[in-house]
Parts: sequence; structure tokens; C-alpha cells
Amino acid sequence: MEAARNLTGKEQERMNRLRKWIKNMKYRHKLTILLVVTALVPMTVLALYAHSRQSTMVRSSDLEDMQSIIDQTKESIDSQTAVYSSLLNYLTYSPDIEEIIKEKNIDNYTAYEKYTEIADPLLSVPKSYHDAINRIQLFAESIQVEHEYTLVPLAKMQEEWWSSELKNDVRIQWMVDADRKEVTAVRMIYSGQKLDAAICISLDYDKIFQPLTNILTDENGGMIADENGTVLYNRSSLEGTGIQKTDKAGTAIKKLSETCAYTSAESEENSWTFYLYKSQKAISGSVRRLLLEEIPLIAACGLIILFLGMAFSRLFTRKIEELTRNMDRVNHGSREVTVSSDSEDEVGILINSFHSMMDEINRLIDEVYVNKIALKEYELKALQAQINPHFLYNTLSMMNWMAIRSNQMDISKVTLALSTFYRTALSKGEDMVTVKNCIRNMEAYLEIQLTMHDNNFTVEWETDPEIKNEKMPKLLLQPVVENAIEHGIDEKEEGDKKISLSFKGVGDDVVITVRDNGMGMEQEKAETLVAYQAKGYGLKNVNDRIRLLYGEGYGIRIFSAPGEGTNVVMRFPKEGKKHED
Amino acid sequence: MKTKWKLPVILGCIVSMMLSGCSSVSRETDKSETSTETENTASAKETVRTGTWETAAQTPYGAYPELVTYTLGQMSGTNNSNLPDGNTYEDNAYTRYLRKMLNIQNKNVYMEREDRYDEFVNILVKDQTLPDVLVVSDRETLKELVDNDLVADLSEVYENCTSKRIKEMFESYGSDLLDSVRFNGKLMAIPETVTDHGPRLMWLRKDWIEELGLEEPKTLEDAFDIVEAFTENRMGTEDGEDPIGLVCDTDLVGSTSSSYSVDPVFDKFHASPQRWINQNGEIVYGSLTEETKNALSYLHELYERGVLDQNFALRAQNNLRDLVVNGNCGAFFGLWWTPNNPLMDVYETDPEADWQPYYLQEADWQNVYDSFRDNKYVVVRKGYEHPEIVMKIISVLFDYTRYGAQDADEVNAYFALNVDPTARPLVINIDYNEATFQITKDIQSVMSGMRKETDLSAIEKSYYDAAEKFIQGRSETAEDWAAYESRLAAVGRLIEGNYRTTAKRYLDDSDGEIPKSLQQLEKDSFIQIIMGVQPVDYFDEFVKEWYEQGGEELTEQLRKSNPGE
Repeated sequence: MEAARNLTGKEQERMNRLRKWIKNMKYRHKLTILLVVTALVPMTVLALYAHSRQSTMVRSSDLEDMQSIIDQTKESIDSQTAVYSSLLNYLTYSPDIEEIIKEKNIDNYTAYEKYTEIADPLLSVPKSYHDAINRIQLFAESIQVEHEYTLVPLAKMQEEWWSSELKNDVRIQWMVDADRKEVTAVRMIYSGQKLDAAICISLDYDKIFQPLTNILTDENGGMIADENGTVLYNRSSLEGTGIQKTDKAGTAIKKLSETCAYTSAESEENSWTFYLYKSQKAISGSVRRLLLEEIPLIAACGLIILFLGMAFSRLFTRKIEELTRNMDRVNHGSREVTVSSDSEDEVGILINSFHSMMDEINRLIDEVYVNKIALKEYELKALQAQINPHFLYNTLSMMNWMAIRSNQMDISKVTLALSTFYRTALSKGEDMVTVKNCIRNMEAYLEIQLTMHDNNFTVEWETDPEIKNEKMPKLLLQPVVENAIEHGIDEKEEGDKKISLSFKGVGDDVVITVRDNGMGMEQEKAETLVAYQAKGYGLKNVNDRIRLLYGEGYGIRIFSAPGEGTNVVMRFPKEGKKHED
Repeated sequence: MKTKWKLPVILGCIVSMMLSGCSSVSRETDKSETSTETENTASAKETVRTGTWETAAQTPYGAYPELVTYTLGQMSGTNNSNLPDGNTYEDNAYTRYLRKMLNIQNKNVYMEREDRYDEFVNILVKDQTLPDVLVVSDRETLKELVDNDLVADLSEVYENCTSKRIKEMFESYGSDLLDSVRFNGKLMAIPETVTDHGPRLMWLRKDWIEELGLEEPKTLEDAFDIVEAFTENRMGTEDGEDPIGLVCDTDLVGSTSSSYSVDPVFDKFHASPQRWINQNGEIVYGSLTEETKNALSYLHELYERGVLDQNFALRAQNNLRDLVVNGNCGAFFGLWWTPNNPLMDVYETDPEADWQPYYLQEADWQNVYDSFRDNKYVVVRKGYEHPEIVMKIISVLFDYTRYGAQDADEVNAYFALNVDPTARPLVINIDYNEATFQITKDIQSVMSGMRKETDLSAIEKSYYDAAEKFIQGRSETAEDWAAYESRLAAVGRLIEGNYRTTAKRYLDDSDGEIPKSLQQLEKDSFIQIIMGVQPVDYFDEFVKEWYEQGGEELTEQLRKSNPGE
């Protein structure tokens, strides 16, 4: 029980797996299976029906053939027996024979003459014309001494095997002994009520039944029975018919009908019934041959169905699969819609709906994005607005003046630089500043930084005057330079420290390079600084701003190696190329 | 049934002659059979004996340097001549042995069944498309071949290429046999030999003689007295039946393959009915002589006495055989092989019946002419390169393998296997005229210790073994009994009675054949005389009528074509 339950459990599991597998099967394959199955079912039904009809026809034509064969066989055996019947009749009424029968008590020499001159030729000549005759015998009351085997005293008839089967009848009686291989036709001659003589033709069993033997093959058998139901002849190479030698015809037929089909014919000459039987196996053999012929056809149909099924399902599911692949890509981040359809069926509608849906989504995404940037700018402006620049400048001017007065020139210098830095940085609330403004801003910033670092590094400037009036977003360079100082030269412990800034026009672009000869870093790390929001760097922010303003082709790139310093290259287009957004 | 009767008897007696004695040999050969078989197949591949073309063409046993293939018209037997499985008419013990010994091989371009062979040979002769070697079975055809100059002269090759023993064999028949195939002094064919079977013996139920307290017969008269006693005491007679007495075939005169005729009665009176005889230097038909009349008179007397079966005229040979086998009769005349047929059947069914042969008459056939009816002839196509080949085949098959060879077991085993003579490339037999008697004499001399067993030929040895087994009581088989009873008892009686085989005399022509109507006249007249339907003197009327109905011309013609006789 436990095992059984386990088994059913396992089966259950297997069933579930199967169901799942079917469920997860590709739609195209499902469709193929559906089409093939749908086509196969009626085809199979049709084939089975046709086959069964044909089998029946083959069977019945087989039986018809057998019937006509047994009829012909009967005819030919009948025609033979008819010959012997008429021979027997001829002999019976022959005056020569009558003479021998009637004349009793003749002397030996006359008998010798009659026997050798009349009886011998009469009874032995037919043998040379009829192959099947074994001998012709005359049994007669008048014969005292047996002569050859042809003339025999009537008393000796008792010794013949067929004498016990004889009936008191003047008609020809046919008797068969299969063991002796003999067929005998006997006609009795009466004188009044007394049996006077009998003429007997003994025939060769095999030759008489030759026509039946001839038609026998490995698959069939033949049988002959007389009116008493005695089997006279039964021959077949079939096994397992179960017929015993002693069986009566009725029993034999009953046994036969279990394994064989049979036909029969009644003799017109005597009381024999001829049977021809063929094993069901042999008949189904011909049906099987028929089936063998059908199989390639069925297989061809199956292949065509499969091919068509696959072709149709491919046709139907192509667009859906394309759509599925597209949706899958969208799922993985792409917002591009590659699928399209001009048909107006369900799939077409689906694709077009997807198309418009994606368009809508893209539009919404863009909207949200732009709004976010606007919000950021708004926030910046609000911050800027919080500082009253005039108040700052005035305070710084006053500090400068107080420093000059107290002869503190360093403070004055820093204060001036700070004032310049803020003025250029704020630049009257403008978003965009000129490159010149940016340079001035950087000069002020670096002035302050140099003071803070006791002038322990040098700054190198390289400026292309042509680009001085090009516009750029403000406060763009400051985080870069701050990084160069804090992470570049500040961490370098010995040797001269240097920062180089270069402003160049390259083609339609402005390229600003900030190089330090500080610690440097792995190139991989350098690249992550642009991609991710690294703490204390702010380079991603700068990069994002350029990209948002000018597009994907612009931004900053960092080149560095440990101990070799860092090189930050910033690229954006000249005025005319400025992004319209 | 009548026609079917003769063939089995002929075959039966020949085969059982062989078989009856060979059964013991066959057992011996059985042991060596496997080895000989392998030897023989091996020998086919072995290099055959080599020789030169000259020695091959000049000697009986000289092998050809290269394989000589001769075309042959083969007479085939029923059931493939009983050849062992896998053997054919071109590949059997005979052809293999000939190939091994002589380096020759037959190629059967024509093959026809026994019963249709003559007809077929006739067509070949008419078409003049002969094979290299051919056997023809009647004298008419042979003559036609010679007249049309289609066959080769064999005079020289007979001299050179037959063994001494084969020549002896032919000589044993007298010069007439070979002369019968000489045309203008040239030997145009080799005739088959029909060996002498000797005169008929009286076969009597010795157990009945003893039962009645009678003495064994010394003369034919004694024997007939015994038969009379049988009938008087109703020996073997069933209630309501008449006693049979001496059974007698209506043909009266028998052939080499028949029993139940009454030839010994004619012998007793020196009569030779149904044969041409030389009477005082004149050719006469033997049925017409005074001697025959006397014999018939005596037969009539026997019939009247009840010695001769009263119903003999109504019975056919098969009925007579049944009477003997069923034990209804105790006396008949038969040749020496009678134990093989029908007495073997009696021995098996009724061991009490003790049939014994008695040689009671004196046969004198000096003046009797033999007929050519049973002879076959071997001919060679004119222009064939190796006409000597038939002589070499004859020498090997009928001399060497039978008398000399140590390696011919497979060939000789064919006797025991019941292989039909039609299996031979030449379907004939050649042996001494007195071969039957010689075999018995040789066996007797070994039994009496005068010769050694090893001196016996293969055939003799087989009969010797069978007879020895029977004598020593080691065997109860009918075959061994028959071998003893025929070869030793029956032939022995003939030898004791000083029977001598005489040379055969032939008339030059086959025209001596008696027409059917005359045969019937003779038969009816003789039966009438014996049965007393006509008086004995009716014989003279018969003679007159015989001459009138064409016998006169026939006799004249025969006398003319044989002037020297």
C-alpha cells in the first residue's frame, strides 16, 4: 500500500510536471499540436473505416475465390468420376461380361478362352487409357477360379475392404479408403433378388483427388466427406486445426471454423462434399499486405499534416512572438518598439495598442524627466535667491578696506578673490556664463586655494583666446578643480605639485582639461567616478548636467593611473551648437 | 496387375540376388564408409594417374594425360536409379572411379527414361545426331546404325583395350555372341551378356514330404508321385476347395525372369518348344517336334492324374504366386533365384514351410538357338577421337572394380544400396556366362577349406558371409536364408547334377521372331491337348496349321539367312 501510494504520488508529480510542461510550452508548438491532432483524428477515423471496409472486401473476395476454386475442383473431380461411372455402366451392360456372368458350369477350356480372349482385354484395356485405374474386377457367382486379379469368385468379395460398406443397391456405390489410398466404384448386378455379380473399379486415391491436391498451398487445406459424414480426404499443411483422423466431417468442420474460413461444394456425381479451407491467419495475411500498402500513404499524409501545421502555426504566431520578444526587451529596460503590424486582426490590434502604449509611456517618462530637471534648476535658483549678492559684496568690500587699513594685505587679497569668486559664480543669476567668466572665477578660486595651501603647488594656464566668449553652464569647473586639489595634489606628499588648466576649441567643441600630477588612480576607478555618485567627488553631477544640456555625445572623461596624476577632460559644444532644451 | 508384375520380379530377383548376400557386406562397408567417402572426395582433387596418349589408346587401364570428356546418351532409371543423395548420372561412384582411374568424364547430352529410351534412340538414329557413346537396346536399331555408317569399327580397340578377363567373359558365351555384332568381319558394337541361369528346378514342400512319410524324389516321376500324394492328402487345401497339385503357367515355357513354367517336362523329353533348334542339321521350330508332342502327351497324363493343377488354364502368374505364398500348393518349377521371389515371402510368413529344390531332369540345349531379345549394344559414334574409351570403361567397371581393385568399395557398395544398373555410364552388364555357377563353386571351395576367404571377389564374399551366417544359425533374416537357399542349395543342386553351361548359339537374324497369331495358335493348341479338350494327335493338325499360317515361309527365310547352320 505504501509503495502504491508512493507510486501514485510519483505519478501525481509526473502528471503535474507534464501539465506544467504543456502549460509552459511555446504557443507556436501548442498551435502545431492542436492543428496536427485536429487533422489526424478525422484522418485516422477515415483510414480505419476505409481499411475495415477493404478488409471485409478482401475477405469476401478471398472467400469468393475459394468458392470458385472448389467449384472448379469439384467439376474436374466430377468429370473424372463421371468417366468411371460411365465405364462401369458400360461394363455392366456389356454382353461379353453378361456372358461370363450368366454362363455357369462351363468347362475349364471354354472358361480359359472366355477369360483370356474376352475378359482380359475388356478389363485390362481401360487401364492403359486411364492412368488412375488400379484395376477392374469382376466378382461373379459363375467364376470358380480366380484369374489374375480381374475375375474373382463372388465369395471372395467378402475379403475386399469395401464389402462391408456395400448396400443393397443397383446404383453405383463409391467407397474411399484413405489409408489404402484407394477409391472404389462398385456396381452390383442382381439376378432376381439374388446377388449375381459385382463390378468394381479400383482407382488411385491420389490421382482421383489430384485436382484437389493441386490447389493446396501452405495456407489452405482440402477435405472431402461423404453423405455419412466420413472424412474421405483431408490434407493440409496447416498446423493446429486439431482435426483427428477419426473425426466425423461435422466435428472436423466445427474444429475448422475456429481457425479457418471454408467453402464447400456438393458433387453432382456422387454424394461427396468438397471443402476448401484457409486459415484466418492466411486471410489476414492478405489484409496485412493491404495494410502494408496503406501505411506509406498514411505516413505521407501525416508528414504533410505536420508540415502544414508547423507552417500555419509559424504564420499565426510570428507576430505574437515578435511582440513577445519586444515586450521582453522592454522589460529589460529598452523603450524601443520594433514590432509593427498593418493587419487589423486581434494580433494587429494588440501590436498597435502596444505600440501606442509604449509611445505614451515614453512620452510620460520624458515628461517626468524634464520636470525633474526644471525642479532642480528651480531649487538652485531659489538657493541663489536666498543669498543677497549685494549684501555679500558690500560686506567683502568692507572687509577688504578694513584689511588694507590694518595693512593686512593677505586678507585683502583673499577677500578680493572671494568677492570675485562669488561675483563670477553667481553672475547675476544667469545660468550660462562665458568661458572668460569661468576662467576668472577659477582664477579667484585658485587664488584662495593657493593661500589656503601656502602656495605649495603651482597653477599653469593655457587659454585659447578664440573661445573666450563661448558660453557654458556656470559652476561647472569648480567641482573638478576642487577634486584635483583635494584628491590629487593634497594627497601627494613630496615633489612639486602642479595643476594645469587648458581651455581649447577643438572643431565645434570646447575642450577644457584639468590635469594634476597628484596621486592618480586606477583607470577603472576613474571611470566609475563619472558613472556613479561617488562620495566627495560630484563628478557625476557635472557630467549629467552637460549631458542633459548638450546630449549624449558630451560630458567629462577621466584618464588616470596610480602615481601618474589625473586628467579630466570636459567637452561641450560651442555656442551655436548649444542644445535647444 | 499383369503388366506391373513382371518388372518387380526382374528387378526383385536381380536386386535381391545382390542384396541377399550383400547385407552382411554392407555392414562391413558401413564402418569404412565414412572414411572411403572422404577418401573419394579427396581423390577427386588428387592428381589422377598420368599416362601418355599412346598408352591410353593402347591399354585397358592406361589413364589419359588430360581429362577426356565424352558425350553420352544415358538411360535413366526411376527414382534417380536409387543413387545416394547428392549423386547424379554424371557424378556417382562409377563416374568418379572412372575419372580417378582413367581421367575420363561423361557428359550426358541426352537422357531418357527406361520405358521411353528406345523410342528416343530411334529419333537420334533418324536425325543422325549421335552422342560419342550410346547404348541401343534392339538389334534392328543396331543394324540401321551400321547400314547408315554411323558407328565406329571397334575391332582394333576391342583387341587392345579390353582386359584379358573381359575377353574371357565374352569367350564363355561362345564365338556367336561377338560374331552377332560383326558386320563384314568388323566389330561394330559390344553386346551385353545375358548370363546363364541354368535349367529350372523342381521346388517341393519338404515338410509335406516328411509329414506324409515319403522319400525325397530322385526322378521327375518320383516328384510327380509326391505331388499326387499331396493332392490325395489335400495338403494345404482349404475346405470346399479342390487340391491344387503342380501349378503351371499357361505360357508353359518360361523366361529368365519367370517361374511356374513346366520347362523341365520338356527337358525330360529333350523338347525345346518356343525356340529355334537345329535338328539333324536343319533349322526347325522346336514347338513342332515329336519330342514336344511326347512332352505334351505326358503333361496331359499328369493333368488327368490330377498332378497338374486342374484349373491351371484359368490362373495367371499372380494367382500362382498367391497359391505358393498362401501355402495352397506344394510344387512348382523355378530357376535357382526362386528363394528371392517368391519364397522369401513364404519364409517370412510361414517358417514351417520348407521349400527345397530338386534337379531331376537332364538339360541338353546343345542344339537350341538363343534369342537376342534381351540384349543391349554399346556403340561409338563414327569419327569419335577415342573409340577405345568404351573398352576401357568396360574393363574398369566389369573387371577391375569387381576382381582387382582394393579401392572400389564405394562402387561395390552400390550393390548393397540397391542402386539400379542404369546409374552406370554404360547401362549394361558383362560377366561370365557361367558366373552364377562360378560364384557358388568359389564359395563352396572356401567352405570346404580348399581356398582362403580372401580369394573371394567382393560379390562372392558378400554371399559367402550371408550363407555362413545362416548355416551357423546366427541369422534368421529372410535375406540370409535366401542367399543360402539360392546360391548354395539351388545352384549347388545344379552343380551336383553336373549341369554344364554351354556356349550360346545365335541365329543371324531377328526375323526368327514368331508372329502373335502363331504364338496364340500354339498356346491354345497346347493347352487344349494338355486339358484333353483335343486328343494328343491333334498335335499333328496343329503342326500343319502352323506351317500353313505363315510358319513355312518363316522357317524357309531363317534357313536361307543362316546357310551354315
